[in-house]
Amino acid sequence: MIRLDGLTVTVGARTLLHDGSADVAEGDVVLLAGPTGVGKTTLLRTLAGLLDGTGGRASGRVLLDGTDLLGVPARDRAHLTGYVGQDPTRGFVTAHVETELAFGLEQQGVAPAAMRRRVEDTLDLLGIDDLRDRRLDTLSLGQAQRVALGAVLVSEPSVLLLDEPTSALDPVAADDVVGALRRLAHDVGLTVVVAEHRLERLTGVVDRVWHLPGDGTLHDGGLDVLRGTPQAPPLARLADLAGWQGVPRDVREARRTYVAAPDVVAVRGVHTSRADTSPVSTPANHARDEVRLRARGLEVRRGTRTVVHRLNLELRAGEVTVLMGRNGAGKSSLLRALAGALPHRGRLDVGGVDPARIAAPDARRAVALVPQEVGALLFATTVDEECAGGDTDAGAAPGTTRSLLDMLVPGVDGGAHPRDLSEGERLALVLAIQLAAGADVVLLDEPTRGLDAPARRALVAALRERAAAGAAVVVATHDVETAAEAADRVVVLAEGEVVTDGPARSVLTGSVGAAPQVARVVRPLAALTVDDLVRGPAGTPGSVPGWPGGPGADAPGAGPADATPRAHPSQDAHDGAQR
Amino acid sequence: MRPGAVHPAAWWLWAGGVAAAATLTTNVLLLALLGAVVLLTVTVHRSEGARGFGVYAAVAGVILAVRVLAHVLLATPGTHVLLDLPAFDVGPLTFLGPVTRESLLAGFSGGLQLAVLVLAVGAAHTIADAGLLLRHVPAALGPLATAAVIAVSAFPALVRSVLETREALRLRGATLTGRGARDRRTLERVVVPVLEGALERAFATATGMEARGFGSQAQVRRGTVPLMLVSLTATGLAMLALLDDGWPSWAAPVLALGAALLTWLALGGAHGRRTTLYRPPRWTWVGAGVVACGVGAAVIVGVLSAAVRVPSGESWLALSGGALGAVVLAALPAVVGAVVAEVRETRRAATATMTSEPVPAPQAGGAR
Repeated sequence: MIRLDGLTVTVGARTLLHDGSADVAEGDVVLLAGPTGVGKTTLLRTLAGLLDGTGGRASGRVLLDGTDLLGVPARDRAHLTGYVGQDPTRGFVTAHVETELAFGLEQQGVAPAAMRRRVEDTLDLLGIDDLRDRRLDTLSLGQAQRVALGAVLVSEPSVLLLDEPTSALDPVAADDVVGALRRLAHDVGLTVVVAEHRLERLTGVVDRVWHLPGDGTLHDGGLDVLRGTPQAPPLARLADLAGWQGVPRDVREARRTYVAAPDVVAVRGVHTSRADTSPVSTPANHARDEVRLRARGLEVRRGTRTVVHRLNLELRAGEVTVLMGRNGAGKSSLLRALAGALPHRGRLDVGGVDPARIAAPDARRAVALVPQEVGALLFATTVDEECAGGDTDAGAAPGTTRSLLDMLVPGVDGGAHPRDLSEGERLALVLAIQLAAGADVVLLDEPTRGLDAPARRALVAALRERAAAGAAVVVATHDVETAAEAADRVVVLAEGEVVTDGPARSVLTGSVGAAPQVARVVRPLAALTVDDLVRGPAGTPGSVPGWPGGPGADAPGAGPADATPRAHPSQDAHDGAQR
Repeated sequence: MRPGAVHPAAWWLWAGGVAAAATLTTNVLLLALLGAVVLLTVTVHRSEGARGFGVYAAVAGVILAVRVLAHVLLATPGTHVLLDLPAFDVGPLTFLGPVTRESLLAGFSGGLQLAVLVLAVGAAHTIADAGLLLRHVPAALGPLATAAVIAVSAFPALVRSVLETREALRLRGATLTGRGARDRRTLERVVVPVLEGALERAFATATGMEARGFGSQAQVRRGTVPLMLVSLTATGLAMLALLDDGWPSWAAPVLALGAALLTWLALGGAHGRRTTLYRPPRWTWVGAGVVACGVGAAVIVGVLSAAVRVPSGESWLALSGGALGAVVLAALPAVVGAVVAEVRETRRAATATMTSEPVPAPQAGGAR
């Protein structure tokens, strides 16, 4: 269906892909994976015919069903390929859902009767019929994502190109989108190419993987292409650790493989605190239980709605707290109120002062907040200027910000414009700027959007180091895997109230919806991530506990988690998605 | 459009009729009644989730207040003195001075005329979004109309971006005023992210539109926009020539003809297949009725006797049957709408009680 033939993509002086070749059959779901900033968005736009304005150039051939479409602009082939960008709400043109769906058909001059039929079909296909009269600005993120999908699907393309469809969504909404993708691929027969960082959500539905390691090559294969790469999802890393032959596609497969030979892995010693395992464990010369932030009866209002009800919270030094909850539970409002950016009622005490009542520069030295929308904090023309500005704002020594940035995402070009950086690089820059002030309380709102696995791990390491130095860190996130790696303590919010507040291990393993994949596989072992496990007595490199051939059976290729996914009957395994 | 819904252009024509009626009279009572009618119609007919009428109401209020205040502050001649204030002479102008009934009435009538105009436009926009109308423009102007729609809908995003940036400034520890502010640089820190954000948003919107086929059909001949501009100027001059006696009598028809010709040239320029319209709104009797009410009200006010239409001095409270009739006619869409809504509600409540399971009366044995 799709064939790349000697495709070369360059942006400015950088070569993103040199002479790449790949082949995709009709109905395949292809996962485009790679580090932050490697060029996944640019490659998708090349396939979609949307390179104008990005500064990218492409040569070679992109064959869609035999026809070379590389030079054909997107507007002339909306009936062949559909592209949905990273933030779907920005692509909306009209005011209502139904007119938005019909917009594409109107622009292509489709006859009114056909338009009506196609819009109704798409509403049914994506299950958004009850949204048809709604205004677009009243939709939730998950609904907006599905409407954006629908707006492209009405043109009945044969290839769908999606850029990070689930990164901003909470697990429930992400599940809806993944389910829709599965329906489109399996029932409708669309070919889908998805670029995504949250690989763990998609491994259950993906047939092929295109991996861009960053050196200009494209590796095309099954899920085992990701094995050993920095971007490997948790199940792939577990397979490597346990010595399994193939990479399991979802939690169910992994569990069956694990249960057949549970001695392959064991839990790394028992700890009371995660800080003991961090590579940067400085001797704690601060009072361990010193309270950095205390909130009593905190109430936050937006307009007439109360979004946070009488909340009590204490943040201790050296502790990393993860704030979880579905969209609209009040996480962002709570964080902004704690930073003093939103007016609040009730008592808030950070080192003796209330951040809302003191001037901004002083509040920043007490509480630093990295908001969701990071673009609003960047205003200089080069990264170096931005870093220098960050040093001045924080009153820190010159070079502090730059060194923090290099620790998070190494190799960012100092002369680049901040808006030209990828999402992950931009986030790292803002994080470095905010951390340079050296505040004792650090709050982050959804920082892992757009970051790949190594960048996420670097972020977690930076946060743990900051905590070990005596700060209290709070991360609001949907990303269960990051929460599993970073958290000492998990607080769950629902409707503005604290529902759960306890040690990370017990909260995350105790909840069905919030358990990370590894925890579900190695139940009842109390492990949250692959880093919590070590190779057990029965697990020697190369040994494959066979199934169903009995324990110890050495049968390469007979493993349950076959590397070629088409040989495996994939049922509607929802376990792969975060449920 | 839902079957049975009123065509959006009908509301705009109704609003035009009410506005015309307001322009034709200086009777303060009549104007106030027309304003009340507009407010009533908005309350009854506003569409779901349409905000923003408050802005129009606020603007109308400000206009009225400024007008009246201007007439009080600047001495105007009159006979019935209501309040005797001392007069100040500043150069050629005389400030304050006795506040007369005539000056107050003049202030109110002028202010109310403008206020009703603003309210009428606001009502039309709240009930029938202007964006809906822009979908009906001729193909040659299609891209312009799309740009206008996107600009209007992007405005809230711009406002939100400014607020976000100001807050982000605080998060970075800088302030716009007070300690730590370095004025020009701080302004730059607000303006630059907002503009960059607007550019990014525009790019994302353009990507979304192009990915769905925008621009694949329109092949407009060059020169449409300049032709349209010249034609608009010609229309404006034609109206001037019509209303002003100073112009020669042949000026108005010639200019109007020229404008029509240029418009025909401009709009006939689109070649090839055009874009189609999804579920276009239809003209129904209801829509025609709404238009008739608005236009009828204007016509009735136009033919009122001068004593009621432009009352002078003593008879400023004059209202005749005709004037009241005009007000009632303008209010008809609101009244009918409210009645219909009530009937629908009662009927829905009735069917709800009828279709629910009847609760069995407590009997001996209690068997169902």
